[in-house]
Amino acid sequence: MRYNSTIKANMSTIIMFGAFILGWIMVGFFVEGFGSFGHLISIIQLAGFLGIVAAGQNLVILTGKFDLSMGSMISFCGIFFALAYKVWGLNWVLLIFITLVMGILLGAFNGIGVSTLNIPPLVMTLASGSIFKGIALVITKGTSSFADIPEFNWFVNEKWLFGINGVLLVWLICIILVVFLLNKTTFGKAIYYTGSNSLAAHFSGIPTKKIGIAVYMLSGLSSAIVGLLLVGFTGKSYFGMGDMYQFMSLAAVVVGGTSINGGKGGYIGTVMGALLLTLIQSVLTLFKIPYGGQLSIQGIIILLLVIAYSLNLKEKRKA
Amino acid sequence: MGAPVLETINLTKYYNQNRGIENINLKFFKNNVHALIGENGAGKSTLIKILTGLILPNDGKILWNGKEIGLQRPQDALKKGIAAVQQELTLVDTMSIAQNIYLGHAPKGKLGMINSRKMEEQAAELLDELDLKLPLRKLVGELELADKQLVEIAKVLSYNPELIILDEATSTIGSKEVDRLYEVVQKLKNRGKSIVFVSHRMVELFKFCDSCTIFKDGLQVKDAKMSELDTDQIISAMAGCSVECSFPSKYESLENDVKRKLGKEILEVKDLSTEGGLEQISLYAKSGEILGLGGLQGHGQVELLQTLFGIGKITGGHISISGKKVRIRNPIDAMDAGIKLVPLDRKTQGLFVELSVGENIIPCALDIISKAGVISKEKQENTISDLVGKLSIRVASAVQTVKYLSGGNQQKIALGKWLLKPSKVLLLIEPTRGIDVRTKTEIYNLLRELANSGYAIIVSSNEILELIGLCDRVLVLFERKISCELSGEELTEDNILNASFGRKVI
Amino acid sequence: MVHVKKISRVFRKIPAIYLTLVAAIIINGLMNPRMFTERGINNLLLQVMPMVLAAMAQTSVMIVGELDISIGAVVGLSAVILAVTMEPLGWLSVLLVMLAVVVIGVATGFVVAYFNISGIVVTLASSMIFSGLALLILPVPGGLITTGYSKIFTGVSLSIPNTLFMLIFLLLIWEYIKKCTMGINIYAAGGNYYSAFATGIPVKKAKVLAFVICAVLSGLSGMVLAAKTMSGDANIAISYSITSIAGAVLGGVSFAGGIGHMARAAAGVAVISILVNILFFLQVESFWQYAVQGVILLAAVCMSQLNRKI
Repeated sequence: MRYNSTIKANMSTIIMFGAFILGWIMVGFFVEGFGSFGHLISIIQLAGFLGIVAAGQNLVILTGKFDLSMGSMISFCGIFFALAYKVWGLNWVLLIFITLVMGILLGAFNGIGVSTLNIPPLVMTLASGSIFKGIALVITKGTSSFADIPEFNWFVNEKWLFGINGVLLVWLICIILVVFLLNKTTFGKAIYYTGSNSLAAHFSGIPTKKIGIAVYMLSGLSSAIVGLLLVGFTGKSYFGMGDMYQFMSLAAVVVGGTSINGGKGGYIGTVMGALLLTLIQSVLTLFKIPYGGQLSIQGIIILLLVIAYSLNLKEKRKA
Repeated sequence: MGAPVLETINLTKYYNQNRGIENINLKFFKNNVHALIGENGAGKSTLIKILTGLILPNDGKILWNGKEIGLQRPQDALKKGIAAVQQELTLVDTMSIAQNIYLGHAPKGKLGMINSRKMEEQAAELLDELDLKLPLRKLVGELELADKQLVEIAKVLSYNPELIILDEATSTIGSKEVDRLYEVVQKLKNRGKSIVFVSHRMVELFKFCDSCTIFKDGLQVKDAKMSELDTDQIISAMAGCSVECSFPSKYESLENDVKRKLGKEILEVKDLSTEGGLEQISLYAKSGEILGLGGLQGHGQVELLQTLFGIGKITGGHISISGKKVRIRNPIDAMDAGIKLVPLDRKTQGLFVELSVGENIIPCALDIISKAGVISKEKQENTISDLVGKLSIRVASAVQTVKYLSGGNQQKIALGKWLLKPSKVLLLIEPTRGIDVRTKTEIYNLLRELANSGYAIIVSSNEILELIGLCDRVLVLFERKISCELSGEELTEDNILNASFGRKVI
Repeated sequence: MVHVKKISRVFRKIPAIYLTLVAAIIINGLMNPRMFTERGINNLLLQVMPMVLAAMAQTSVMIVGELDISIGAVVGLSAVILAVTMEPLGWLSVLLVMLAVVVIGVATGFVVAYFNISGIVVTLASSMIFSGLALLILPVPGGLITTGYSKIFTGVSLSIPNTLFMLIFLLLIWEYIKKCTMGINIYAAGGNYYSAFATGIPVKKAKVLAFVICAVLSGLSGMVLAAKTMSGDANIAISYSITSIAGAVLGGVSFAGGIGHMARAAAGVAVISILVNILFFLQVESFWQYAVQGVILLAAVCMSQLNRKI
């Protein structure tokens, strides 16, 4: 009996996991060198960028809101880091910390607008995203910067830890921290309560406003991390470098089974979602499918998964 | 009486394994007001949902004027002439009163467009008959709850139904509106309508109704004319227990040495004024006592208790706990001061209905089950099962979603979750609203137990009998001020009623 | 004294967004006097019309309580289909586009209403699908739009731009729909879904209809865009999804549903567009556009919050 209900509760994660494995095996049959372990690691590493952004998005969505400024925050932080390094010549480690703090502050801006001033999250994060984008544009004047920091690039790119590179390492730490946060801490529980029914949470003494601001700060932090990793990975920064992650972060969370209304879901599903989306993208690229086709197919898969979840939910309700 | 307008034959509905109703045989006649009486969960709502086309029965027949009919959707019932006024309103706040009354069946004009003028004319006529004066173009969202309920009734009447069901239609309106409703019901009755009346209030049942059916556990227990029964008989049939057995003994009846340990003033409120309109309220509550807040609905009771819990802005006066002044700006401040609140609406304020029983129990006590922010699963499980056992919350398991629990069990959780940590003052807003008699008694006993262990308890209630039976002292509020304080021999129905209307008490 | 009082009373009755629009037009005109010529007005209308239609599309969906972030993709797709099929099919290409958007509207609305999935999530996926389709059809801007077709939208009749006729016509149709049963159903379903359902209103059908109206208006937007640029470009309207929401919000449409006027949303998005013009004339670098748009959106929402409190 208990076994059954555990399966039902995590059905979405199981579907995801199954889809990933299936996709992996199928493509491994067709493409040379695809099914190798090394390749698997590459895909997982690539998914790391999306996975970390999606962590921030996931936390915000769990509280019943969402963040549409993450793409702009990634660009802003990456650009800031690269430019500051070139112009100020500060120690890159110090700059990393400054950038992370910057990300948290950007997130706090969002959080205060949404939680304290009661501005609808859609409007607040759209507006802030525009503002961050605008500032980034003014700073870069549309050009890209080169940030060649050998040690940093090595940390991010090279597979220096048992075949894992910096991106994957950071993601693994992120996964451990976020899952722990959500499942085992009072902060995590407070997030779920706030998302499930913020009024009842308020009546139960949960500091919903503070939680609201905190999750946005964390999403700002995750954006900053990804911005930094992107600069380390590519060696440069450019306007709009974070744009593609905006939509995809929402997609990864939704595909991972977290409810858009808040209060239900978890990060593991999102991790699976990030992996699946990245796998699909790399497979499509491998088969040389044009960008338009890639986009459509990804959209169709996301739609089908979302429909599958809602049907699953209907079954649960009848039971 | 003639032939019945609506007749049910062996109507049965099961929710999975649980019996909703079984073998219900009822007859509803014209020119008659028939009461459906029973505890929550006894089957009344199930029956009404079937009659209004919201759910389908598993077995049985429904005859309308002698002919068998099927009610698959809400529209079917409305078309036949069956309409219900539910407690959960079906109004759209963003539309006007006239639009709401005629929603879905507004009179049409040229080219298929709605004829607004005709709609407003008809709405005006309808409201006239109800003796209501409301601006037709006003948005429903701007109305008070009592007025909204009257718009809902007007809406139902706009369908010109033959059978009208009033399902707890009086639970949120004041006595003046109840009187007005009575006039309307009489008019409808005389015009040949058949009326079905559901209420928990004995006074109203005897006033409004001619006949009744009593439900218990989904079965039809008794059918009779109201004139043949009295309150005791009804309550016995409903619950198998009479009025007296529901209230535990009061503070006065305690042993003297126990009384000495209690009886200290814990809460003092002096000249409290709030942004919402409370002015210069002063009161005190002692440990060991249950203090009642009475008076008509909407005269400040809810606001007072919420303000003591940090919801609502304080503009003047102060609050003291055990002699020390405390600043209460939000629920967290209140909790730190030892004040807890069981709010008015358990579904939206007191509980997380989509979450499980266990998860609903722990939000106020997260610090007990965790160390440095990390939750101990063992402590969590133990805490939950302890409380479930202590309150005899009847659930299959602690993972069941609260949404599917009965009102009584839900309220036990809304109350129980505060008991995990020691408190000084427990505030409850209409704690037994919509709850079956058995659970009511359990809650009364629990409150008295808590009082005896040192709590100061303040309960606001609309039911005078409850105030008299449960409380040691009662403060009656009238127009946001304390009209008078009653205790001992002065604590009578008449006195509370008089004070509720601002009249002087003898 | 009396005159002042009367005038101010009249002003208070006019929704603020219209006054803002007039102010914006005047300021824009002061900077660019050529704007007040027949040609200038036509150009201005052509500039804002595609976004206006997109904002009207978004309004339809917002009233029923949902959001559509695929509008930009549908606009692009419509323009692309038109540009690619105009040569072989001639006038049938317009029919094809209209058919396509109706199918899109029905499908989107169906998934949202009958599978009970949030509009944001469905249109997130569908925007990828339609963008992708458009890019597959026309990876780079191109195609052929005949001048005959283009003149219909860019032309002028009786000294009044054709697009203005079209806009007024559409607004009148919406006024009609609002007063019909289906229009009321859309407002009711958005105002309170459960109440409308319990009253027997076909709420699911109402949602589908709202999405169909949205898709049709998006299709029209693509048609005007194609006429203006005389080509098809899949990506040209990507920002419309967001800008349409901004314009609707400025125009007083509520996220919660049940409240909104298409004309005001149109005015809202026009204000945004004209603002860009003004910034251009102030020689503010186009870089600042984004930042300024963001700040304006924030300011507008903050003001409407304050207004509600008053």
